Amino acid sequence: MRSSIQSCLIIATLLAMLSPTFAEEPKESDFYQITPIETPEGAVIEGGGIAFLPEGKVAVCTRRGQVWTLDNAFTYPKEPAKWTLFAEYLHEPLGLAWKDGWLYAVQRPEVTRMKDEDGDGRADIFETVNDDYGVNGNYHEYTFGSQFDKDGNIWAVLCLTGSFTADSLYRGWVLRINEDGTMLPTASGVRSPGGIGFNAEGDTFYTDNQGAWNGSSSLKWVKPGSFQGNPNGNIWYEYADGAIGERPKNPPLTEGGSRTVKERENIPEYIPPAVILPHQKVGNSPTGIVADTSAGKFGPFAGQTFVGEQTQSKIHRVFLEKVNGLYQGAMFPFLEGFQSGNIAVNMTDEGVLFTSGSNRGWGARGGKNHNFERVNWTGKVPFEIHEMRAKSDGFELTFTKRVDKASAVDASFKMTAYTYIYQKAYGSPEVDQVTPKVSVQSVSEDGKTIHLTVTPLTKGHVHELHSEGLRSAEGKLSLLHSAAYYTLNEIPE
Amino acid sequence: MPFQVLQSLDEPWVPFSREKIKYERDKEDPQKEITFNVNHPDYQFRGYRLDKKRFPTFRYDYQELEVTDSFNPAKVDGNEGFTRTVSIKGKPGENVYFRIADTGPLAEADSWFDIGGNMKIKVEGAEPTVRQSEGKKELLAPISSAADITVTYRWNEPMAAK
Repeated sequence: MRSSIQSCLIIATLLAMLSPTFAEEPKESDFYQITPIETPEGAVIEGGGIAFLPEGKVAVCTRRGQVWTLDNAFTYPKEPAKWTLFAEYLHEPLGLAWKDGWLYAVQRPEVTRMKDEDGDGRADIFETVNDDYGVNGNYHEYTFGSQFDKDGNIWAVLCLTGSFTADSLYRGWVLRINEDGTMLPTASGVRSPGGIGFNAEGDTFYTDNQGAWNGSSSLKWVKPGSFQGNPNGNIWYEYADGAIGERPKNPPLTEGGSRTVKERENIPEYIPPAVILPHQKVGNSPTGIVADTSAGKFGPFAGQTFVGEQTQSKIHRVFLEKVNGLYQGAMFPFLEGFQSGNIAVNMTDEGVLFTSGSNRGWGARGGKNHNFERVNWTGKVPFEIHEMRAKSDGFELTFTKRVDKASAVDASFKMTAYTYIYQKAYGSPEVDQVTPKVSVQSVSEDGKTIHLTVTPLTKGHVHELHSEGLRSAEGKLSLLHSAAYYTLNEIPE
Repeated sequence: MPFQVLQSLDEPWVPFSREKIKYERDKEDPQKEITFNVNHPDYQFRGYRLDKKRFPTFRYDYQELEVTDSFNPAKVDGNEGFTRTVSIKGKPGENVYFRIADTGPLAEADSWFDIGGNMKIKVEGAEPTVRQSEGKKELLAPISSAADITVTYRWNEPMAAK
């Protein structure tokens, strides 16, 4: 026994002596720093929405119906976090946006705007902006809301009743609610959303969770007039007064289901998921959405989209492109290790990201029941796939740093492709697996672009790429995240 | 619903606004019908304002009327109670009624109506009448112009400690 302990000690000592001779593999925290912000004793800040207010204040609405404002959010811990209870007794608000002196909360049954008129830091006026949608007390009837779009709309996405049926008006729909108080039914086919927001171009996306009609969780494009795939809320077409036309045809209700590629041909209004977030592999419950509009202040991913993940307490990174009129793109792992399940996600134009959430109802990693955390870029650039674009014969990868050309060989890349059953039953296994052959067609002169030939490309499939063998030119480092998941709705010409 | 048009005092009070719809797959099954709430076409909730004590004043519209409704604790003849102030602005249509109470025997003594639950109320700023409808008594006030109505709620005596 004693000798084995001694051997272990000797080996450990040798390893410790040897390790400085190896290049240290970087970790996420070298590039993006997560700072949990201290919350008031006893406060339960289960964030559902985050808004940025004038004078550097940050506001968060909570699943328990409160709205808090925070001073020193950007300078904490150098300066203490100063929280003020702005409002309470709201009905599980899951969207918070600031406009023209009013704070707008998207509550389960209505969109409300609030103002602190007497300047004591607490809201005095609560005005109903719009309540033209239904709620019946079922626990699953969540309503998530976006920030304002350029036309003065908040986009609200309404979860189904119990995540299966539509027992209240417009459950399973996306609605646009204007600051003037009007509501416009905008899209149908929603199951169980986790957040709604815009990409850098200003188009609207929401996250929908794995379940009935969702083989996997995904990021979906809310094209106005579209049907997002779950037909259970389509009874409300008869109330929508033609706002988005006639009720679409149903997808097959028979056992065994279908495929999204096939049903796109049968149902013209149907928009397939823009980016599938493969269930279990990358997460279980996608949530808030925010575009990086900081023009480089959040690092090398300007213009890309970040998506929260509740169960696995992460933030994903998404590259989106439009091919043949449809959005599609790649999901990359980005950052993990948050203290609880992220729900609300927002980022300032100065490139500071905030997230907040909880593990209530759906468990989450991290060990805390709720979190409010800030993410700052450290100024160092990670070696990452920057963009992954579909090509007629494969994919083009660009990188944040030059690649080691000697490592840019076929053997450095592996790909699998698969899809999911599109069905009324809950979820789906990965099906129709393909193992395409991946070869390096070209490496750009500057070493920052690799064109991969992929044979075959399969329309509608997730193309899961692992670039384990690739190294950076400088330091011969592995990619910080070697996996990428591209949803190929369309193959470009 | 506090306001309604009644062509006669025999018309029942409609408690809320509901509609029914069926899923396509359940068209053949008469049992499977969803009853869901819809906004009443005559009402629009407008929100509320909190005063220094965080007491709310609720606001809503009924037809062309703008209504505010607030409560304040008060001692009434030495007993615990509260006052409710309903302010009605605008010009009402024909035969609009405000329903003040629908519980208890509503027996009147010295302007106080017994609403059950060991409680009585007094109405100022309106002329309430008691009617029998749908098996119970209701206290209604006709609204023919803008009005400020004060309803005072008073417990008969302190509740016995249990």
